[in-house]
Amino acid sequence: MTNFLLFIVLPYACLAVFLIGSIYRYKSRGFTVSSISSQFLEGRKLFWGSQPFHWGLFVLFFGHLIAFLFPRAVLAWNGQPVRLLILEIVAFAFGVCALLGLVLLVNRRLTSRRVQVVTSKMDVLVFVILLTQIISGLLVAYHSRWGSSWFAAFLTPYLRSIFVFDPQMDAIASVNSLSLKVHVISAFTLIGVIPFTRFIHFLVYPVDYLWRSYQQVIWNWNRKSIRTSRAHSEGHKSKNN
Amino acid sequence: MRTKIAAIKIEPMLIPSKKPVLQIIALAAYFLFMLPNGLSAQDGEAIFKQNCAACHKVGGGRMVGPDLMGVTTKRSEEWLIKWTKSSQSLIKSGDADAKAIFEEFNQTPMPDQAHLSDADLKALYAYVASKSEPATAATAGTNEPAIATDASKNATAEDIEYGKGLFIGSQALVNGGPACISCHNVNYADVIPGGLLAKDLTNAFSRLGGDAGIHGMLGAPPFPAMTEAYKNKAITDKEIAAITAFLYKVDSDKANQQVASFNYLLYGGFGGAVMLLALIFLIWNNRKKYTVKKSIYDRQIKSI
Repeated sequence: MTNFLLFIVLPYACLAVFLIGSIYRYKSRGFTVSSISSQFLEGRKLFWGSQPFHWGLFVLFFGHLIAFLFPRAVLAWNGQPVRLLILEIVAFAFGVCALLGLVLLVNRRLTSRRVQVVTSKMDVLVFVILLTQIISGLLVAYHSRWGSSWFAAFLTPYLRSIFVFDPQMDAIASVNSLSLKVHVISAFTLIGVIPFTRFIHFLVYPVDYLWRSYQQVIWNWNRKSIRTSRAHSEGHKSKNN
Repeated sequence: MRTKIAAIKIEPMLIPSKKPVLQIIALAAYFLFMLPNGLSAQDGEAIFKQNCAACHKVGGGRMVGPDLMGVTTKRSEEWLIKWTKSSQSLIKSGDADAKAIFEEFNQTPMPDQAHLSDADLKALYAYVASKSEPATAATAGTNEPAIATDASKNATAEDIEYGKGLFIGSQALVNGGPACISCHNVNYADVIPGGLLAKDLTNAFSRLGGDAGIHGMLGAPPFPAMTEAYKNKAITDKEIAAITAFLYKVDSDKANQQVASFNYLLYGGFGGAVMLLALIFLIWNNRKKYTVKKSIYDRQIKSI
C-alpha cells in the first residue's frame, strides 16, 4: 500500500500538479516565472555556488534524460568496462560538483543578510529537496554502483510505464536500496513543487542568451533633465552619482 | 486462451436459439470450469519436466529445492499457487511457512513461474499428487533432471571466456538484455568491480546449487527488478550455459584472487570535481566581480 502511494499515486499527483500549476502560473502570474535572482544583492559567493551547482545539475539532468530516452544506447556504451568507468566517474564528479555548489549556496543564504531579506519559506523547501536529491543520488551511485546500467535496465521501464499510463511498480518497490527509493520519491516531489518555487525558471531558461550578440547598455539621456524631471514620480537627486 | 476461442466459435451457432444469452453463459461456464479439470496428468508431467525438474524431484531427495513428495497434501492448493507464481511475494506478505522454507534452503529464492496459468498449475499439482502415491513413488526416484548438473565443470576455456564477456557486457546478449555486471559483483581479478545493487555472485555457483539453480534463476528470475530487466529479452540457453561456466570458474578460483581495491568512483569523482572547479575558475576568472557602482557605493558608505 505504501509502495502504491509512493511509486504510483505520488508520481501522477506530482506530474499533474506540475503540468497544471506551471501553465496556471505562467498565464496568471507571468512575471513571477523567473529564477528570482539575488545576484544584484550578492554576487561573489553566488558565483562559486551557482556555477558548480548548475553545471553539475545540467549534466546530470541530461544524463538521466538520455538513459530514459535511449536505454539501449547507454547499455551499449557501458558494454566496454573502460567506457562504463568513464561514464560513472564523470557523472559522479558532476554530482560532487553540484553538492559542493549547493552547500556554498546554502551557506550564502545563511550568512548574507541582504539575501536573507529576500528569502522565502519556499526557498528553504527548495534547499531541503535539492539536498535530499543530490545526497541520495551520490549515495546510490556509490553504494549501489553502476547506476547508469541498471537505470537503463529497470528504471527506464518503470518511468516509461508511468508515462504510458500502465504503471508497473514491482521492480522499484523490490529494490534493496533505501537511497534509491528516496531519490525517486524526492525527484517526483521536486517536479511537483516546481510551480510553487523558483524551480520554475528551468522552464523559461533563456537559451538564446547563448548565441545572441552582446548588448551594451548606455545612459543616453541628458542626466540633468532626468534629475529635475517632474514627468514621472517626484524626482530626487541620486545619492551616489 | 483455449476457452475463449472455443466460446467465440460456438457463439454464431447459438444465435437462432430462443435464449442465446443464457446458453452462451452456460457454455462459457462449462468451458471455464470443466476444461481445466479435464487437463490430464500428461500435461502436468510436461509442465513439471519443463519448469520444475531442474531443481525438484518427487521422491528421491532434495536438490536445489525441496523434494515435492506429498506436498499437495501438506499445503493448500491456494498456498501452492501463490508460492509457485511468486514465492518472494508470499514471503514478503509474512507467511510463516513460506519464510521457514526460504530459510531452510539457504535463502535461495525460487524462480517465479508466473507464466503458468492456474489451470496449468492445477494440472501440475495433480501430477505431483499422482507421483506422490505409494504405488508410483517407487519409480519416481529415477526422474532425471532436465539440466545436466556437471556441464560447467567440463566447460572449455572458450566457454568461460564467452561467459565472462557476457557477464561484463563486452559480449552483448543476443536478445538485448543488460550485462550481469550492471548489478552484480564477482571477485575475479580479470574483471572490473561489478555493480552493488544486487547480490554478490562470487560464490553463486555453490550457493544456488550449480548448473540447475543458475539455469532456473536466469531462465525465470524471481526478483522483480531482474524480471523487468529481462522482460522480452530472455537470456538464451547457450548464454546461460556460458555464464554458468564463468560463474563456476569464479567460484572455484575465489581463494586465489587478488582483487585490487582501488576506489575508482571516490577518487575519480572528487578528482574530477576539483578539475571542474579549476575549469570554471579559468574560464570566468576575468568576469566583472562587482556591480558597476561598487567603488562609488563603498566610498559613500565610508563617508557616512
